[in-house]
Amino acid sequence: MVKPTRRRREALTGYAFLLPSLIPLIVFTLYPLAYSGYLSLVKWNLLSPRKEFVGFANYTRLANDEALLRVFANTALYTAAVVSIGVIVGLVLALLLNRRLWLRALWRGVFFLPSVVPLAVLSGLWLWIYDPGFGLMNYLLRSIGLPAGQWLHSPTSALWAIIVMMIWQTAGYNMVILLAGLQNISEELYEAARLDGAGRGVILTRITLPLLSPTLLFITVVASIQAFRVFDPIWVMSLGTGGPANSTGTLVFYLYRQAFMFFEAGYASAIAYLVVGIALTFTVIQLWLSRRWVTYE
Amino acid sequence: MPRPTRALIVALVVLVLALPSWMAPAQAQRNPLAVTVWFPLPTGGPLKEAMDDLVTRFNSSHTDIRVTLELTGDYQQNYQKLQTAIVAGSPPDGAMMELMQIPEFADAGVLAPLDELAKQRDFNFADINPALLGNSYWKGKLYAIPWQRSTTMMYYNVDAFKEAGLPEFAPPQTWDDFRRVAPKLVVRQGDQIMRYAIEGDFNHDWLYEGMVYSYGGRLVSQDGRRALFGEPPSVAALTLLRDLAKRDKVLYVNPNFSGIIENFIAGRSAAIVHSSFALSIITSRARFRWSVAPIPAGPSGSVLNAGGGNFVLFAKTSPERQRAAWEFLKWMTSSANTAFYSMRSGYLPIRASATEDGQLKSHYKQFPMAKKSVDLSFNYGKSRMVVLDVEKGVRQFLNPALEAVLLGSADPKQALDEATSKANAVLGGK
Amino acid sequence: MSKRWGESAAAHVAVIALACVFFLPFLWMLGTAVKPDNDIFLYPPKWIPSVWQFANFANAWAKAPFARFYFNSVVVTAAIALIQLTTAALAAYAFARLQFSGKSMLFVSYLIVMMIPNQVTLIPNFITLKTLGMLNTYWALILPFVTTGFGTFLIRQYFLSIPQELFDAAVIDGAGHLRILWTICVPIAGPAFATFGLLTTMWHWNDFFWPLIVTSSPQMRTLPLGLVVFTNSEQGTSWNFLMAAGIFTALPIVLLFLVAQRHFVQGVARVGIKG
Repeated sequence: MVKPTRRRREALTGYAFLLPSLIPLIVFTLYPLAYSGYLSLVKWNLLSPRKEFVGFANYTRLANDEALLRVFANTALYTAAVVSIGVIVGLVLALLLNRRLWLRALWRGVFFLPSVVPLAVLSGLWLWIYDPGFGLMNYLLRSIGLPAGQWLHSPTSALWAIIVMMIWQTAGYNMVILLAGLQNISEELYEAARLDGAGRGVILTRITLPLLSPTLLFITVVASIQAFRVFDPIWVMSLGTGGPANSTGTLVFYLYRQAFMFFEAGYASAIAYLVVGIALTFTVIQLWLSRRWVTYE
Repeated sequence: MPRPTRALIVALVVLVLALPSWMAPAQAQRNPLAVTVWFPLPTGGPLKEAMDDLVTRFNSSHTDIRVTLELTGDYQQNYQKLQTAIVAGSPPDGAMMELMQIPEFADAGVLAPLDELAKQRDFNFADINPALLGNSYWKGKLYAIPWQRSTTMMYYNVDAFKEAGLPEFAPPQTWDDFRRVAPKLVVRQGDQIMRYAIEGDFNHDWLYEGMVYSYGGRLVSQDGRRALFGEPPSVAALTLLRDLAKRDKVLYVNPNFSGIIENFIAGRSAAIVHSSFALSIITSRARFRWSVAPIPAGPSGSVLNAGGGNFVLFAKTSPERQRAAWEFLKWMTSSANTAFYSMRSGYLPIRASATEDGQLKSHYKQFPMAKKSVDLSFNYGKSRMVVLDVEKGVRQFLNPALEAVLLGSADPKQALDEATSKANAVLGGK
Repeated sequence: MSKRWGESAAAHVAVIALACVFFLPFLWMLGTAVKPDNDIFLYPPKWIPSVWQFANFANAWAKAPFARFYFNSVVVTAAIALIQLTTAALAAYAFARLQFSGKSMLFVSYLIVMMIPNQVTLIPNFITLKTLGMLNTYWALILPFVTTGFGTFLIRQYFLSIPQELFDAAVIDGAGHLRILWTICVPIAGPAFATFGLLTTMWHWNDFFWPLIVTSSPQMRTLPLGLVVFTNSEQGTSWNFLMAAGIFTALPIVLLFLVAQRHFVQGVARVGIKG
């Protein structure tokens, strides 16, 4: 075997395999990203062709923007809550539903359903649930003697209301991905462990979780990215305001407003770079750290 | 891999490869002249049907022009689609836009000025309801013709008023009067309020502007460069609202626009402040006696703020297409047609002469409330603020301040002062 | 043995309890779909309609050309799913099992697909498609999504877990990479393919905004664009029709889920782990 030729052939195969997805990637993702980078250096109102070069002014503006700090805090809270709770709930559901159960497909379907129904419908549902006057949430609370809440109508509870709804929506979808990961673990391993007298706790921590770790990494990374760039649920549940009193606005919501409502395409592009930059950094860190806790075979 | 799955995959792959042949047919029209107009309307229902009707009738009576109606979502989605099209260099020939969106487009020069066209005698410009024209101008030029218009008004539950021992068809005319009788209208069950005296989304600038007008103030200066919502009239209006909501507990500030109508229909609010447009829903679903009235007056009288969408023509088009688009606009806003649209949609007729239209008159006989709301709009209607950067300079700061006071616990003067100084930094700094 | 029974019973109870909590909103949704208008927002909430208006489904369907929207949605999502599965499998194989320079950086750029906000790609992609003359065609709805960061990542994770021995055995047998991909990787990664296929179908089935921007005629529109018939902030939403339409929009995906989840069955023992 002549090593250099083989290596080169392998590299060529690698590039060839990437080509069908690489070209659209460049055209539809990297080019817009690069264009956005150029836009972040100008002041442009979208409507007129005039673009005024302003250098790094948009970026320094980021550092001094009080509203940006606010939405960043909202986004951080939202991401931390939805990802941590959503993945844990998804994991619990996946573990529960991986065994033989009566009507298992039905239960799995019930948990997955929130991800399937279009947001336009779900938002209507939850706007009703959260209505302080006639909604389900307050009805249930009142019937067991607890005080009713303002939910989406109050700056202090609105973001949490949306967080709860999104955990409900994403838990089932996390469950599905984790279930796929669980299939990778052979039944033989469990049998062997049980025969050796291992208890459920040991099986979980020594066998299941380590072998599930590639999927866990995946779902954490993906859920974090998706939570970080959340837009649609915020838009519909706050009725397009990011409120009340700016309490639910997130980074991408702020980006949207800057671009399409404030006509600041340049500043919006700088925010976009901030979003991608943070998401990328965070992801790379997660991937790097994963070497310590993820077991591939 | 099992056989059936393989076959399925092959079939789907073939389908995919056959896709180019599934492309939508090109709509190349040389003769007649093709004109495209965008309307932010739902893709089905009475509004669409009425517009389809109008477009079909126009196309059959004007064989040299062919208008295509494109439905583009809601006001905000329409706005974004328009921006995208403008950047790409392919805006439609005409579109309906929400009032407050027009200055930005006009200022950027993407809209066609309509002064010359509107002066022509066959358009009869003087016939158009003046209250509806306020938001059609920018820097002295006419850029839009009113189309889908509404005003705010108060709907009240006559039966509930009777129940509370109040006169049936004479609701309070001023806020002071209202404050006095409101507690009688409130119904409680334990510490839950089962019925409020009045409900509205006063946290939004549309309703709030009306309040400020009725207190003798305005939200922004006439030239749109200074924010005035920290001035005494506005502070007084907001303080009143805050007191009604939090101290008297008779007002329910509900940000959910459609939830307000539902609450009224279900009897959970004795009165609501909402768009004239809610008339058709309430007419078809309310099971009690109700009527419309002006919103209670502040020190400067009752004001019913105008809202809705106007029709604009885009500058980037050929002269022939622009003339054709104007023909359509002129025809669409003729007395008979605006009467027709008003009847079918529940929006206001834009011309004074439309109220003489035979069909509309018989419609009013059947639905007297419709006539009443039109009269209210003529008598108390007032145009909205005209300001460039309405989102960036006004809404970005005013609305959260209103929310902080009415839905949170902020102090009116403090919240408004803060909002004003931030707004002025944006508005004045030009 | 009895320990197993106790465990099983506990699991059943937990699952049923959680399922009830999760399903509660949908219970109201189902009821609302067949309620008359005035029943919907009553307080206390009315679970059972006073009149069962099953006609709501037919009436909702009639309000917009849903048949055409359905057809378009099926064509577009099927095409996207198939194309994505192919490109992602190839790319995942390259990232998981082949060596070439620039691999890490390229992988990260695939991940960027997931991170980039839609607002950034909106206008450039619109202009690109306009230049290609593809606006208002199926291609406009499909092409921007050919590359999937999510799918590539997921399938790569799966491919990484396949034991090296299987590859070595195949190489010794003289198999080229494509054959290894097709005969070894794809079958083992069945759950990953099923999962991704399901999820991407679901996402693109429910995609509203991009189709709104790139289509102009009703013949090219997809299902979510039909749903907005029922939501009008000024006119008030027809909640019962919206829920009914939501049900017939979600139904195909639910069915797809039931089919796909049969792949989530444990125990297809991995050949060659322990001897």
